Amino acid sequence: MIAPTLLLLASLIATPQDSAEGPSHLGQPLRTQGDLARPTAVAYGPNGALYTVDPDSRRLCGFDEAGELVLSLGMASTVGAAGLHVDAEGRIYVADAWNRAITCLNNEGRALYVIPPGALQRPGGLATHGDELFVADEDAGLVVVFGPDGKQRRVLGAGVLDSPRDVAFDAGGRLGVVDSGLAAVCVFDAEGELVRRFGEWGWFAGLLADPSGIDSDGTRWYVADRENQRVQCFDAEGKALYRTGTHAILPREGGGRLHYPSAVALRADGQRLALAEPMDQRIQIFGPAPGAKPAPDPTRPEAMQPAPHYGPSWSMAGGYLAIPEPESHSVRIYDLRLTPGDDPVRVCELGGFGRDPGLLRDPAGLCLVAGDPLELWIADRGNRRIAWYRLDLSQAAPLAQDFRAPKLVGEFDLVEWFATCPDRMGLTYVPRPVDVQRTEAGETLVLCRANRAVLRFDAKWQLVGVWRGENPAWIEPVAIAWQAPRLAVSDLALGRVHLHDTAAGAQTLLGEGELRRPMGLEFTAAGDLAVVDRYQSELFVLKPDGSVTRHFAPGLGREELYGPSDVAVATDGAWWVLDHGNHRAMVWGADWAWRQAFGSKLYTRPARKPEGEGAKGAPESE
Amino acid sequence: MKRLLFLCVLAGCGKAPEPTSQPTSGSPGAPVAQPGEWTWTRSYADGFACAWRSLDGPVTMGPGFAIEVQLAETREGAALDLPAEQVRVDARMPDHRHGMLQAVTVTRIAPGHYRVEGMRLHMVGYWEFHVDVRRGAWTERAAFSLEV
Repeated sequence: MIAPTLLLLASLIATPQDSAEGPSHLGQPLRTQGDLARPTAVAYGPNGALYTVDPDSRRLCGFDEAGELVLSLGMASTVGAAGLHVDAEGRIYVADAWNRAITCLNNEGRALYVIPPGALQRPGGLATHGDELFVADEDAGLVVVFGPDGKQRRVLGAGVLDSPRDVAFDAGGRLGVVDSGLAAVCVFDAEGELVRRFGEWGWFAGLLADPSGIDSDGTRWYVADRENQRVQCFDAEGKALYRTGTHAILPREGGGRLHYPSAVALRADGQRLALAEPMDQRIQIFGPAPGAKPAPDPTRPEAMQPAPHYGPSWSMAGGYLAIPEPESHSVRIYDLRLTPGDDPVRVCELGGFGRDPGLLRDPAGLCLVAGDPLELWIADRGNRRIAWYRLDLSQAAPLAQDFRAPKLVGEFDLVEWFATCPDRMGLTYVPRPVDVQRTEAGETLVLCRANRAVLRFDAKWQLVGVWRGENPAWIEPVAIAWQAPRLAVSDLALGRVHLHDTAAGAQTLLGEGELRRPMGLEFTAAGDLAVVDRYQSELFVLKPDGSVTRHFAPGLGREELYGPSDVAVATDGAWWVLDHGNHRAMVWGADWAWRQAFGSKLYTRPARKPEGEGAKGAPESE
Repeated sequence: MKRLLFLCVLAGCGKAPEPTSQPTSGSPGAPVAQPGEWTWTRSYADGFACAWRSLDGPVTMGPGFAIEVQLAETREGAALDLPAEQVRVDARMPDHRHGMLQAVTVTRIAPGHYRVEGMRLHMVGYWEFHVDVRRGAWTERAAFSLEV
């Protein structure tokens, strides 16, 4: 096995390529900016300072070239900062996706003006050109342009854009818009006409998968290609020039290894590239590197990596577990009959990226319904529709893979429904579904992010009711659980769970002072509510009497989680936690005794180790 | 050229199923369909009946072919006459998780009847024909199983 060893050594030595030529691309990892909780956006100021917004630690920060803190401003916990821009005069613009507002600050952090809620649905990336501010509005499918007085002037991209996430200008005044729904970059001229579109969904060079950030050095576009775990550099014509970064394999691996890079910024001189990785709580900064293009690394596949990336949601019922697989936009179905003791067995999968019937663009919420037949309901956030599958699987049959088992019964298109619905019951925006539940009465409950409401549809898809949050209204509802007649809604912004007794019409708040960023939740058979907290990496059990128990802590070990995103309670009372940041699932018995972990080997190994043998230590490499 | 191995299998073949709240099923292992013979099924949500037949003789791996699709409320009932834009036909191999290598065109040729051109099954094995019918916001699927 000498050859592979030499190949590996050669790749380690020669990445990036040594060359007699001077630096020609941004690919040399320089440093990592840590001490962050969830940096969602980055921007360079005219003075070369690097700025970021971190909604989970509730800060807007600025750092100098050495990484020293030069600015730190507090933000309210309900600010969902999703976009950041610093203009040539040093004014700082922050897009608040949760409150649908823009704030403009001077370089000392004093508010200059605010664009209040009303003009935007879900503002994200921003850029300025002349005296105008351009804002990507993901849920509206537009770029909205504001004047220096904060008044809306016009919109761009109607009928062209789907889910724009970020914007940037090149030196010629052309606007580049990265659109995660199209998996493409759309370039508009100064008149707002589409002049070019490049990229489509995929993982080979030049293709994009959930692109969410864009910037320009004046002539080239740099795109944060989130699910491909890289930044791609394109020329003005849209030709892919090179990539920066490769997929991190080891937990929290850095040094140029990336993990869901979500935002990108270029320093004005084009000599620094900053990448925000919210999941790994950091920003990596790259500088010029020699060679025309980083050498392909034979140890890091360009294609989709085989390690499972679970979530961020799941659903368990009837002895099966359904989990979205983010990179392929598919949903995998696991048979649980061998657990505990062995891992769940993947028996089939469905979906894949696309708009056609049977394909998915963003399976955000799932509801598996036990019965004959087993059913799966999917809230497809990207396609804005609800998919209904029948799964021809049975626990009575021998355990076997059967990829013919999923049958698409039908799909309900919320865009079409909204356009033709005679009575929208006060809904303002085209629905964006993020979760779904089915009731015993055959109703479908759809959690809508855009309208911050739960839509009740009967079996014929007639809207029969709308539930909204009260005192206070929901801001960023992300997940629902149903146990007749109770509906529970976790609100990421409010940091609480709303418990709605739909029979009595009463709402109560749970988890106040305990929860920070609640995500997935589920009722137990006893009527308790289990909810995971992404920020605190804990599982909370909220009891009807108001008492709360907290379990686990951040980390990789047996009693630890890292950014958990969902929870399920098995019929035997076992606690199943989707440990999203650790790419694994963790299972504890009803007595809280650890049972098993499954998922990526590198992430499950620390938990599989017996206690006292480094369970909480640094992970080993393979 | 591979010799024809063509099985057409479908749920409810021969009679329209009773209305049910459960979708009907499609499963392999059924009689061989003769070219030109209509093969019927119900949609999984039981919202319509659907049939297909080959317009180019036996279906084999390799050559392109055309089919005709018929939609009705029930097999003996009224035609379900929709614009061609609301009828989508595709073929996929679920075992391999891929579809055809080309797109098809659907043309309405008579009330409830559609000509589908551009079909081509490029691999031997189990295929499913999907007929997706969109009415308003709701798209509903009927499927046929084939082994070539």
